[in-house]
Amino acid sequence: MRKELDVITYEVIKNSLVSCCHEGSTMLEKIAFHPVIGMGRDRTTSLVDREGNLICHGHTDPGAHYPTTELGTKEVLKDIPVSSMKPGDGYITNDSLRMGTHVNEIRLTWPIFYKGEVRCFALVIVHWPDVGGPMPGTFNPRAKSSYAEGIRIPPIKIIENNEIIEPLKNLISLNVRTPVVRWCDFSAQIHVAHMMNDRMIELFDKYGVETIEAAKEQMWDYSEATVRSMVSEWPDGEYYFEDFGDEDAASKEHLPIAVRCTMTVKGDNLTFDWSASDPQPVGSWGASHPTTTAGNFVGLMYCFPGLFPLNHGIIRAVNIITKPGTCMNVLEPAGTTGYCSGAMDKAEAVTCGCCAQPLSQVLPHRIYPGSVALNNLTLGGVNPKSGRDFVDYIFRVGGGMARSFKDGQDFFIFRFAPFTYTVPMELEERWFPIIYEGYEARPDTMGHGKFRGGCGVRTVVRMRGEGEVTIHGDREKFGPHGLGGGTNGGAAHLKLNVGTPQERNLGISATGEPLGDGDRIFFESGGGGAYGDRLERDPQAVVEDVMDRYCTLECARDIYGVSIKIVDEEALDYQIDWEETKKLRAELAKKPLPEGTGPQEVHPLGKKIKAIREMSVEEALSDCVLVRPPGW
Amino acid sequence: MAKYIVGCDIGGTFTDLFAIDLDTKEQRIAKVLSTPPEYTNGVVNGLNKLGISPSDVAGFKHGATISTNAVLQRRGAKTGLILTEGFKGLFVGGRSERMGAFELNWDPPPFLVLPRDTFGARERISPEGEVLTPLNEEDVRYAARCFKKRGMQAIAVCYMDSYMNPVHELRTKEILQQECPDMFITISYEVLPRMLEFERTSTTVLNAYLGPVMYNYIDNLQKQLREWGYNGEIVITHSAGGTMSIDEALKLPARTTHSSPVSGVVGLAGYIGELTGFNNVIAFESGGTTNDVSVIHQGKPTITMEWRILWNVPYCMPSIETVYIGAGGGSIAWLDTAKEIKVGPQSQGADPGPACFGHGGTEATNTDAQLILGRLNAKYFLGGELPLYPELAEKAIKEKIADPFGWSVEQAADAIYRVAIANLSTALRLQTVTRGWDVRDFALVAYGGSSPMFAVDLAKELNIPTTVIPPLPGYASAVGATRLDMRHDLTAPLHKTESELDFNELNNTLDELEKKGKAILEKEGMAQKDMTFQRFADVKYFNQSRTFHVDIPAGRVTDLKTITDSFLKEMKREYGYILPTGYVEVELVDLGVTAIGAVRKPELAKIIRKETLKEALKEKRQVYFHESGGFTEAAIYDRSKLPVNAAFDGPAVVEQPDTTTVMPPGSTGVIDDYGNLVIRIK
Repeated sequence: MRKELDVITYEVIKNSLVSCCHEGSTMLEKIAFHPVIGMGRDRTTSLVDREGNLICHGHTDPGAHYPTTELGTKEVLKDIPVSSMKPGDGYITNDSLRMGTHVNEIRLTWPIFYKGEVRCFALVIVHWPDVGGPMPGTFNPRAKSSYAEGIRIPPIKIIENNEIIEPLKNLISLNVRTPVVRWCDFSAQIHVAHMMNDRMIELFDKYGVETIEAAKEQMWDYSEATVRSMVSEWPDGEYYFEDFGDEDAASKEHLPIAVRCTMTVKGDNLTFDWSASDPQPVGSWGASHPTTTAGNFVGLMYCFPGLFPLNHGIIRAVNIITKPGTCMNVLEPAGTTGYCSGAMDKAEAVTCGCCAQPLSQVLPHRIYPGSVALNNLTLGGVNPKSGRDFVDYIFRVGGGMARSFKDGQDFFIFRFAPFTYTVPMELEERWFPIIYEGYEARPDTMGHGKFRGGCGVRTVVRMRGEGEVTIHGDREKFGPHGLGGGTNGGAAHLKLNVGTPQERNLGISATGEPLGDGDRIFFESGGGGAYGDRLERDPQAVVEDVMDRYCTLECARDIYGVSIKIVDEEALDYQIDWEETKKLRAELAKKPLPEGTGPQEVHPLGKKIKAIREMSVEEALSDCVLVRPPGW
Repeated sequence: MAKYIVGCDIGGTFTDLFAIDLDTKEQRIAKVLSTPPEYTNGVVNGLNKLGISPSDVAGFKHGATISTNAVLQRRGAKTGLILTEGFKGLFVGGRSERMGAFELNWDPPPFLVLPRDTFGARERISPEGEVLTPLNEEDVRYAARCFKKRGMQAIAVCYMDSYMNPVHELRTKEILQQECPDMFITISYEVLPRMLEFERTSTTVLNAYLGPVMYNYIDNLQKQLREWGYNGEIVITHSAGGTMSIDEALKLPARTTHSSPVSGVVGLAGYIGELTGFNNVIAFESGGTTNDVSVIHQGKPTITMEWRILWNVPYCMPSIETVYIGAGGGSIAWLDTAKEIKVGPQSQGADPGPACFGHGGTEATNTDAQLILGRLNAKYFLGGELPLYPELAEKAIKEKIADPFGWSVEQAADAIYRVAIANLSTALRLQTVTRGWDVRDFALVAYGGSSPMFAVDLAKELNIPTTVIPPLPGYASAVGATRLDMRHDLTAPLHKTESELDFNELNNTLDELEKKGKAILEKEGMAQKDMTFQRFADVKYFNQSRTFHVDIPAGRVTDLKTITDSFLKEMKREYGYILPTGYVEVELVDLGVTAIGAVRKPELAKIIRKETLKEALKEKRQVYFHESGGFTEAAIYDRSKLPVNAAFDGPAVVEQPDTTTVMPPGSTGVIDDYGNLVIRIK
């Protein structure tokens, strides 16, 4: 019989557990060496119980990571029984086909002993900027197998009696670039594991093992009950949605890759079945099963923002089915470095599309179109200044999704990693032989609707030496979906020397494209999906967009049917010709925008999903739940 | 004969004044209601309440906190922005980080300048400082024309890589001064000649946005003080824990943001640490809505180059690092959708305030919980000036927290309190333990209206052995201001690695900065003998993103050993590792000089008390302590009567008009020679 805790003790312990992870994540971003951890915040700390069930994770961790910590740890425990563990031992792995995400994620599993027994694990994940393989930075869009990515490390003891096992370290060092700095990052991981170890011992001392265990169970029960009670309010039924990857870049045919999901709601049971998705692609695009669950949980949690952080209670309340051998459950020897812009991004978007169907009937302010995806761009070469190899990893923001009651945000960070900072351009210019020439919103690239999506962003980089460019991207051919008749977001591109005779579209899976000194790269992120009919958009909002250069006069006229006369641009005197607008809109009503899954087309499934009623901004925001770390 | 130094701090609700006689150490205090939107009336009301005559005032040190409010309430100047053509996204783009993980309906607050008022000028400086594209002056003139037509009051200019060469910004300023002579113009190089385009732009915009506000305010203040009869010197406190003349404040109005908590940290907490024998101090200030935490190590407060006024509004001039925690006396206790108790970050603020104020507040706050738990005296809040209504606190807690759980009101109040403590301890831990400080070597100096209620419990939670409550905890910023030196932080970019470094350039830059600092201090009337110049560098490994602040000893620098050693020591402490020698070069990013003009600082007088402990005992009251399992009898003392060096044990509550100190069982307190309440945990 489990101990029942009073709500206060429970709340305080729960806070302490969450704080332990938050402290770990904060410490990690401060003391890890590479900026992708400090600024990109590409790291996660979780507490996992001795069965491998997720207790909690850090607040500012990326959503791609933590849903995989439960299944990942269970895999570790299959190879390394708890009974074989000793205090001062630590285990490393990056086997993404079993653990989820990609090989760059180095996972340190640290058993926490109390009174001679393993009570739980600290799991400290850091994105190593390189784990070897043919491509600097390890991302390889043309990889036909994991052998063409980086070193794979099964769950293995790397720390014994608090000492790193040297031969193993040497083996890994030989297989990765810049190993010295990688071990600095790993040292940060160990440091954080020790801190979490100490913090947990303090908690066990203070409350006792039984009480902590009880709090954990109570936390899970509570989360599960909440998910189930909310799901039980959703209308029963089967809800289908789909999305597509641009192409299987490593295959001969370069065909699109379909991700399909049927969500079933029955009473308080929620099932996502991804089995009908396309077969495993040749190239590195797909997701291992844990990764699919990550995309699925991230998409689902947008419906339950108050339940953050994720835990085992939420995980066990949801049934996720994938079919081995499909793109949502890739098998040996699939590459995984493209999971994030590829399969996981689609899993997240499709989950949103599925959930929006019942939610449009019960919580109409919580239905979301698709949003800008992460596109990983790497520039590599030899820095003429230092004579050394360099790798610059660039990610950019883009258009956020519209809401059913207001516009999407411009300059929006990809949804699954909301705490990521963009890296300062001037810092990159110091480090690498590049100079930035532009960073601006791309007008007219938003999804068009009553509430528009955010605009894509154009970043222009000029090379100051020779090099090459690789991008692991997606969404040039298929835009993030719109809802309720709003269009999909605009396309992402990677282009070279725009506006010159040498202009070339490199494509969103360009691999190792050579660059000469002075070449200009145009890295263009996509727009966000829109909500509602564009002809219902408030003309005043269109004028504001024109003033702010998010929308051109032509787009205002041809898409939104708003005729704007610029009386004095300098004085910002813009006027709407209401007569003309009425006429334009009447004409446009006869010419609906094309339907399809491409950029700025009206999504055939999405257009049927409409909020049962339109909330005012005030009403919608009165239910805004910002779960922040304690004391934030 | 003028003899008083007056410190003044304007808060959202109250304006605090503190006057101290430099010779006799006699002190006077006044707390009056703030008078928005002008605020200066409140200052004069306070001066009158102090009961000193204008001719007795030798110096007036003022915290112009109006600037922070202007940002929060969006009451700054209508501001236009000029950026390098092609980069119009860099200001509104920010750093893009979001606040909630899964709340997609939240958007960041709007920026201080709209995209439509952002203009591009064709120009480009390389990261090495060469001119790649000359400035297109027509672009600047076009922007100027638009600004005039649109009725702008201020203009900010920030070009890419301009920290390496300000030539285009300087020329732009010239043109704008001709074209828009009435507008307040700020170029980034004069505010923050540092790398990081967004942070530099944000700071520049902030300076422009606040310029006209500060100008009006100071103009008003000078007039009012003159009318009151004071014609002497007015100095303004700033974010680096010093003061500056009005001339400087008008050039760098952004520097006044954040000055209020900083004055308390530097002028008060640091000083109290010294008096009580603690070189290492955690300063913990808590008012109605916020807590601010700062760390002073070896007598030096931690400096930061980034402090956020709002989400996505960084301010990056050197500041004393204070970390804001959204949990104060007014923080609201609420149940989330999962029926779990949260405290803050929403706050009731001053109006309507906690339910027990009886001003119409219906939410259960920290203060309400404290009242229910018997820790606050309903009849002695603000020395009895503000009666508290326990029945209203009870009602709020019952409805919002107790009833949903079927608890008693006391249980619910205890729950609120324990959740608040858990939040605070996490925040405090993040600033200390997580960053490599061993808190057992620190004293927690707690001040502000509400922190002494939490301080000892918090110290217990974090294993900090000693807590000190200074004599006037409710006047921290005003008291602190009186002890601040004139201070100017000047920086210049260097961006040279060990092998690129030219020692002549390094020394010349430092000399140049020192000369500039000296000129400012001279203009402010400081004597040579009172000036000191601390040289420093911001240092990192070349491929690292974060820098470390390292002091450089006076005199010519001929090798880098001292600098790199200090850097590596700091890095080792915080990171737990350093790179192997020779692996990556160390880079000197920026050079700086802190120019200090020392002023005569008022000292706290030693106190003599005739009363005995027994006489200081006001009553015995039932107070709720979690460690005692509920209500237990506690001694209630009157702080003003507590005898010097006579120890007394918790459970106890020490009352004084500006705050209430709660001592849980297992703690021992004593009043030291200067009137500090020093509490140790057994």
